[in-house]
Amino acid sequence: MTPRAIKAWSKVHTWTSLISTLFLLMLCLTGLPLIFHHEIEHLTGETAEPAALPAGTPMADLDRIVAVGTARFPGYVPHYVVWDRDEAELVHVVVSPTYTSPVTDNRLVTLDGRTAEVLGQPEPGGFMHVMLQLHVDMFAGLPGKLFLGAMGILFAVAIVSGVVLYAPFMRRLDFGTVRASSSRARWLDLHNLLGAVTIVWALVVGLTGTINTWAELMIGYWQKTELAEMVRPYADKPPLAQHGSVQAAVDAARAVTPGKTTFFMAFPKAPYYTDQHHFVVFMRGETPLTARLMTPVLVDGETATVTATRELPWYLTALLVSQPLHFGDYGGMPLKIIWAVLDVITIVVLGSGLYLWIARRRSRVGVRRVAAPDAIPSAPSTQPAE
Amino acid sequence: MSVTTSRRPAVRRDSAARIWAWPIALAVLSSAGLLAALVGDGLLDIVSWLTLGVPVAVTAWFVARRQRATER
Repeated sequence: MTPRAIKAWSKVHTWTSLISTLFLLMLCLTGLPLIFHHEIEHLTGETAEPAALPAGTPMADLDRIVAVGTARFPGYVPHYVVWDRDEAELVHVVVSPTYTSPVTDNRLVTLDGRTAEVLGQPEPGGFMHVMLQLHVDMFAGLPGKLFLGAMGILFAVAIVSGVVLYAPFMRRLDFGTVRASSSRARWLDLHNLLGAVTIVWALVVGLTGTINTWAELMIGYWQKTELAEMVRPYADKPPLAQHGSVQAAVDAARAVTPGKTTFFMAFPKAPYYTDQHHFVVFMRGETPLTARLMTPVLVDGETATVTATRELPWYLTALLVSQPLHFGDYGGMPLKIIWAVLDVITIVVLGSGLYLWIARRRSRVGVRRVAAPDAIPSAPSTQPAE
Repeated sequence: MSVTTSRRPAVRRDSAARIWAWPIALAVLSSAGLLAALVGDGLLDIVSWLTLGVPVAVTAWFVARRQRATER
């Protein structure tokens, strides 16, 4: 690589990192407890353990589950029902004051699906809630999401430019060498070592996180295009006044998707995933590969007859496949622990990068003052290797 | 694997293979680990723990080695 190329890449690395570092540090720190949100919610008693009932205890009537969950918030209306992926007996009901309330007004009630007993309802403002909101959008809604998504792209550029710069830096060092000659040499070597170890993980988690920030836009686009096409026959009907049986709607959806299991459902008039007239029941497969993919089944909100079903477009499939790769929740507790360790290593890479930039600036100022040569070149040596 | 640390850097040959062998090996292992748990359960989960665990173990080993070297 020519000295000019190294200098250019070095500029790219410095600036993409500098702009994104503070936000990435925030994302790494808030992401750490989120990896274990399930365990933390159980430990802090935010979600109670489901009762020990004999295996094969049937699920309660869904209309009752929804009624009990919604009754927790008088005057609220149900928007969604989510079947828990990890604990099959848990059902979550998402309610909101009205059908047009902002998503921040949504409340979640977790129930035992077999007894319709309420197990928990996370309080907004609780620790995990604040971590999640900071991580997702910094309490700034869609603009916050898109901003963090842009930071994710800068992070990816910083990683790629870091990889490009790795070779000239490491030309005379064995992998894993950590020189003790000075604080800056030590942290530069650690930055290179820890950065090299986390390249793939950080790229994958960063880019899948960015894809996640576009979820709202993708779902909105799907509603305006494919969903709108599927519900065209209802275009002239007034919005549904009162929906029919939830259980009947889910039974109808199950009947047309043999071998699949319920993932979540949207109620008529909910802001996302549906229109004014339909229950949309999302069915997923049962193998590890297909468990992340879902098929929407549109069910008439009054008569519980299936009106349409269609595979999701590629961009929503990409979103669904990218989610586990961001959350690290797809390989049991050991994978979560590895996720946490790599997250901490990334924090060290970010922190050492920031330190190196500050130290270099300070030494440059020092050079100007005492006119002494810098002990460690700020850019890798550009002389040809002997 | 050559892990003997040369502290006289200037005489080493500039070889792309030497520079990239470890990072590429770790990248291949990490990628395999990220995908393994995605396509299957059970055995493939264990494969992902091992392959993703290796980069972590390698880091720990090199950082620990440096600590020992400084203590000496």
